[in-house]
Amino acid sequence: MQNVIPDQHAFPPELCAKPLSLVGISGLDTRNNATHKSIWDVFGNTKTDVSGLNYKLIDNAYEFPVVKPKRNSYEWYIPKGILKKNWMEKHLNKIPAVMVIFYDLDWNDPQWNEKMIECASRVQSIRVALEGRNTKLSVVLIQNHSVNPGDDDSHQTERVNALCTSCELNPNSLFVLPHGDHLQGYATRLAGAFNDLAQNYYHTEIRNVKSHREHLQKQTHQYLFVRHQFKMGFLSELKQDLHGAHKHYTHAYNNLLEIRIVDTNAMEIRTVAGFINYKLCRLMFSLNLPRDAISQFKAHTERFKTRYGFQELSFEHHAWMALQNQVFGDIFDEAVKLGLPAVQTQHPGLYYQQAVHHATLRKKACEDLCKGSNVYPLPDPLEGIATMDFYGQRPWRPGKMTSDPPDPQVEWNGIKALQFLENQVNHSIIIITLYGLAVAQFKTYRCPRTRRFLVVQMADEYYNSGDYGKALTLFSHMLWDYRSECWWSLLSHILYKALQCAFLTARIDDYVIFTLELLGSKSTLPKSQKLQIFENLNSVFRKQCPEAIVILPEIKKSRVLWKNLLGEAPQTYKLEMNNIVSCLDCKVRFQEEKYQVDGLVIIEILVRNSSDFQITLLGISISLENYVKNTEICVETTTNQDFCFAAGQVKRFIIEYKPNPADINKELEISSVHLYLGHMQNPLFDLQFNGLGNDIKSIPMELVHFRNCESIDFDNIKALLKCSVVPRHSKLAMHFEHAKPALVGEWYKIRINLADSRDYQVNNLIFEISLQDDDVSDTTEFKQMSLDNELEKLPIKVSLGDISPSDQCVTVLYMRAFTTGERNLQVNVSFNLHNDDLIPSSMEEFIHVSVVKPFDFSTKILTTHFEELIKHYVDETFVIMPIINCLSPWPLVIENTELDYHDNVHNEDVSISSQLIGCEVSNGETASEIYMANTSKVSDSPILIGNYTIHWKRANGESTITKIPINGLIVDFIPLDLSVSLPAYGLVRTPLLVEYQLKNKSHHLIQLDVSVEGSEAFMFAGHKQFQTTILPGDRRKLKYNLYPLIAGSVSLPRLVLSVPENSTDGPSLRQEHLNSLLHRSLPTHIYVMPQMKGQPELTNVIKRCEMINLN
Amino acid sequence: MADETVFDFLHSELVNYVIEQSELKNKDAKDEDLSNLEYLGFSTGYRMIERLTKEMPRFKDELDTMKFICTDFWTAIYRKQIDNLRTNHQGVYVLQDNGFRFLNNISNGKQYLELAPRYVTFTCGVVRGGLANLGINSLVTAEVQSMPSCKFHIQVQRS
Amino acid sequence: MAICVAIIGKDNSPKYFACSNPDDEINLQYKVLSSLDVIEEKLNTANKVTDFRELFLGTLYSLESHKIYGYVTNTKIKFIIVVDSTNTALRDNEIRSMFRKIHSIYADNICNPFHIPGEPITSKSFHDKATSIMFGTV
Repeated sequence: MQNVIPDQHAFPPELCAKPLSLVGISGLDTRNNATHKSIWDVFGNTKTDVSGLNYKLIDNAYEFPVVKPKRNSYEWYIPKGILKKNWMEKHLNKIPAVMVIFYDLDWNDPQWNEKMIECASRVQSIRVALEGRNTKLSVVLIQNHSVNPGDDDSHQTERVNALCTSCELNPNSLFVLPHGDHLQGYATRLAGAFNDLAQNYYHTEIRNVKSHREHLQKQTHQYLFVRHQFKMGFLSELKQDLHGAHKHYTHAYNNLLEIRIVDTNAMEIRTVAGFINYKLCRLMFSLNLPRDAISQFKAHTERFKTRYGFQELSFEHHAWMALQNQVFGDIFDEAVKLGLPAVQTQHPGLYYQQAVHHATLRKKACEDLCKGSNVYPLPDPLEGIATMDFYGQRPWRPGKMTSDPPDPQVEWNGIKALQFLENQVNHSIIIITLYGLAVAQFKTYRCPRTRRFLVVQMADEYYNSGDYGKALTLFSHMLWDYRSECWWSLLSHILYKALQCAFLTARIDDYVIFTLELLGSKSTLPKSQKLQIFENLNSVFRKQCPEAIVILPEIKKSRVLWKNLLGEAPQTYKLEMNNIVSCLDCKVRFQEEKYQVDGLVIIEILVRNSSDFQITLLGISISLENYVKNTEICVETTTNQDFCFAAGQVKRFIIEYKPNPADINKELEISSVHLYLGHMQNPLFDLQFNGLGNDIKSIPMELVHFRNCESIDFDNIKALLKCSVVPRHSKLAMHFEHAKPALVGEWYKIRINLADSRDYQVNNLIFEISLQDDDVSDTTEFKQMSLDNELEKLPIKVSLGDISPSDQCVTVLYMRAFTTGERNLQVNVSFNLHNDDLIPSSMEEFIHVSVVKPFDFSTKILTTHFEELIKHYVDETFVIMPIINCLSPWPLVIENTELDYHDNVHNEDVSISSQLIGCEVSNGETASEIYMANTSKVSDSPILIGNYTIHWKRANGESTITKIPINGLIVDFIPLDLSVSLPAYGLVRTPLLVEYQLKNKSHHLIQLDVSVEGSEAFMFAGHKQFQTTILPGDRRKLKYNLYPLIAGSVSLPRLVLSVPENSTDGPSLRQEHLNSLLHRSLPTHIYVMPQMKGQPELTNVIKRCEMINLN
Repeated sequence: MADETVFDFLHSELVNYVIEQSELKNKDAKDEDLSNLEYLGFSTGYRMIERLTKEMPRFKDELDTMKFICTDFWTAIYRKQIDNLRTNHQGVYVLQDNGFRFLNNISNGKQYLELAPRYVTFTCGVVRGGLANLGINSLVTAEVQSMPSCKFHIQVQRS
Repeated sequence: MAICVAIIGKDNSPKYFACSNPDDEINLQYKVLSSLDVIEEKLNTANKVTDFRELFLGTLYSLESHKIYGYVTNTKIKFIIVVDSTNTALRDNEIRSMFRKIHSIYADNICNPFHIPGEPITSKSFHDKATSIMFGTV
């Protein structure tokens, strides 16, 4: 059994030992004979719980307990008690069930006969020693030579028989143990055999006990009914028959309950009941009947819980109750360790807790009853307590059976003696030990709060026992959980006790912390007590020993401790205030999350005094941590009043910190806030807070949203302990001048101005310009300052050096983009601000430029009549019309345009000059001009006419040249050329002359049918229809006189050319060629003016031209 | 009927009041600040759920709780049940009310659609508050596509 | 009558505590707090066992001196009633009905605009009602 409390009430070891069949071993000389020793080692070391056997070496000198004379009649026998103290011990350890005689003897031993006789005599002597007992005898022959199968069996059998006969032994009880390799295996087999014999023995014993029962009488032998059943139970256990044991113990228990309890036997019955109950419960756990065990135990304690016995000895009852619970806890725990599942509501801890309960009652009873028991009575009434015959009897009246009142003086002395002894017991240790057991269990079974309660009670017990140091440790460990679950009255309760411990042990730091927490608003201490501890706190600050709250004898000692402590050299006590709901609380925050290096970091500290008293601090400081070091910064005040806090007051303090350039891009963290309290010399208390505030709140924010708040809302201010320092964001105003959007191809000018009112010199100013988007870097060019400079590569670094406050600072950047789209430029400026220190500063800006087309360009290729052409024909004049459609939002000035003809394209005009020079086009407007040209070469693919160059600029921008190729059409050749000469207009009834000219460009003869279709608008003179032949290279002119009849734009008589059907020349000229030639070369209409009044005048054309007859 | 309309009137006055207050406080803000309305709803739901769940057996799980919100809870406030509850079983629940009480008398269709958030915010708060008190922290948003139908999206915050 | 009625919040902190004998209050507080262990365990296993759907949890602790009963609302507010062990007049059904009454007055109190849910209950009228439930005079 574990955890036995050294106590006279404890269970005897023979009760708690696990009963095992006792096997006596003799004939082994373990000291001198190596073989014997090895055999004994094997038997002695076998696991008892497997074999169920307990081997005991019995040498020749061993004396077996004397056999008591058999009683034939119980008629006059009156038992003096229930259970004899020596009985269990006797059967456990003294009377073997089996006696094994080991003897070295081989079958073929040369001295067989002599040895056989010696063996027999040994058996005989043991048999004599065990005279009157039923102990089984067994002989084991230790043989060195293993038996060979070929040996003479009959010889062997003969010898076995001879040996058995001479030893008077049943052959079944003779065994051979070959001493060799497999000792362990043989031992196990032998153990089985011994076990059978032992079972046999105990079985007989049980029957023996049972046989007595017939003689018993109900009236006089009630004790014996219990005793016999107990014995049978115990023997069954020895027999390893648990069910049988269970049955007999149950009977024993029930028989015991039938006995009338009187003062004289109360203790004995209680003791034996405890024994039997213990046996029963343990068996039930072993038989996997935990519920039965628990209900048996409950019934047991329920039954005996009011059986106090002598009032003067009630502590004995409580001790007994405590023991019952504790032992039940132990066996429960043992069962759990062997795999029994326990649950939160049913586990060993509950019984330890009950044990604690009774141990506490015992202590209380002892305090009540034994206070004056300082004298031990003489003669010693307890003399002979160790040699009592029966369990649970009073030493001063052993074996008393009558219920007559005993001698009162002897009784009184006995009680006095017991009270005296009880008074010596250290109850606190018992209680604390039990708490320890309970705490461990409650922890296992997920009862943190119950466990905590037990620990607090345990601490109380330490306090009661005067171990204030331990009590303080336990109390202070428990505070946190009560705090976190906001059980303020329990917290205050514990704190108050802890405060006393701290006082008694002169733990000044704990003392101050506890006081500060007890003074807080959450503390449920009555105001008078708060005032008392507040004044004590002030005493400490004045270097005076605080007053004790509770009067205890230890006060004197602690006063000395305090005096020494306060008289020592100056000392600062650091008090960790986090997690404490102190009456002083503080929150701290950076006002911003980011600070620029040149600005001041503003730290706001809120301090609240939630006590009912005025508290004055000595100082406030914060520890500010940057990446290397920890700086302590103090709050500066003008008057002492600033640090004086009225009851419930909140004050705000500001600390300004100038960041270091080295802090840039690093974090600043407030690692702690310190409130100084006490006395400048000694004691000085440095209250360290984390600055987050200690409010434990679980109320959803929404529910308190509409609540009115005080002037400084301490609770709702959120602490901010970290901030970062960033480079000074420049106060320079960076200004970009540029006219968006940029136009494709132009040099886009961006002026970067650093214009502002700077106070300081700026050193080492550097611009760095880069394109954010890599995709467009190929199509974008940069120059800086002047267009005469080289192209820049990205990123562009512009170093402007040092600039004094008055200087203007301008830089110009040119950008040229060849594609449309966005260009995002990032401009980083870095510089050192030459203040008192050099402050690295930087700023970052972006320029977003979208690039658009300045204009849309298209060209038209036309006939000389401004009709759309689909083909060029060799030597036929065509018109090129470039069209510039302005898209730019800014007006564009076209400075010049040029058309450079390609080879094979010739200008018709004598000189080319742009018709668009100086022209200004606004958004949506179109500028166009025309060029006339011809081409001399046939081409199946569209020809390139030439490059068109436009020189343009914004009204005040840089000149930009845009070159655009102009593509023509394919070029065809027909042998015939047709032109017409016609006046610009005609007059009604005034003849006009039309001259067609046909030219044969080929080397072949061309034959044509020519006709002119009549028109209603004209009369005309000339050949209406004829056939003509044109020689190679020759021309033919056809002249007609037209006489307009009506005014308006009238259609001309149509000239029709056709290839004669009988034409003999090649297919070079086909009808569709002719039609298309006619279509593009001839106008279809002419404008005819109405007749003027008066003398009609011939048009100049006609005037100048002679009337030529058609030939 | 009259007693029920009192609630509707009170609610719409509440909406007007909160909007007026937030406009007074924050003239330049582009969006209406409806958070006070949501807080009022939260507080209402948080307090009311205590009463409504008094006779209820313990909820088995989150879905069980949501069903309660759709039925008893909704009926208690809006005199009708949620018409459709859907969930992805990963903490997102969509509660559809085809004729949401606070929208029923406003419009049938798309007129006033942009004003709909005003009339669902309180309810979002009520649902969120109720769930919060039942131990489910969530984000509740409402979606109105065509009045008077409304979908409440509950996104459970697990942490 | 019961000797103690307690209301414990979601966060396991006491919101209301009344007991018939004020001298015993601290001790009862310890016991009530300890009984939260059992409630926690019951609620944790409740999801697996559907039988635990009743708000009334039955006996939490049965000590020699006291019996402690528990009741947990859907909003995880715990009600605790402590009864003297010698009092056999109060059976589960009576206790259950006491809890119902407490729940009812609690729900009313939550709707009290002067009470912020989650803060200790300070309403006098609540206290009067709660104590009369405790004393069995309602």
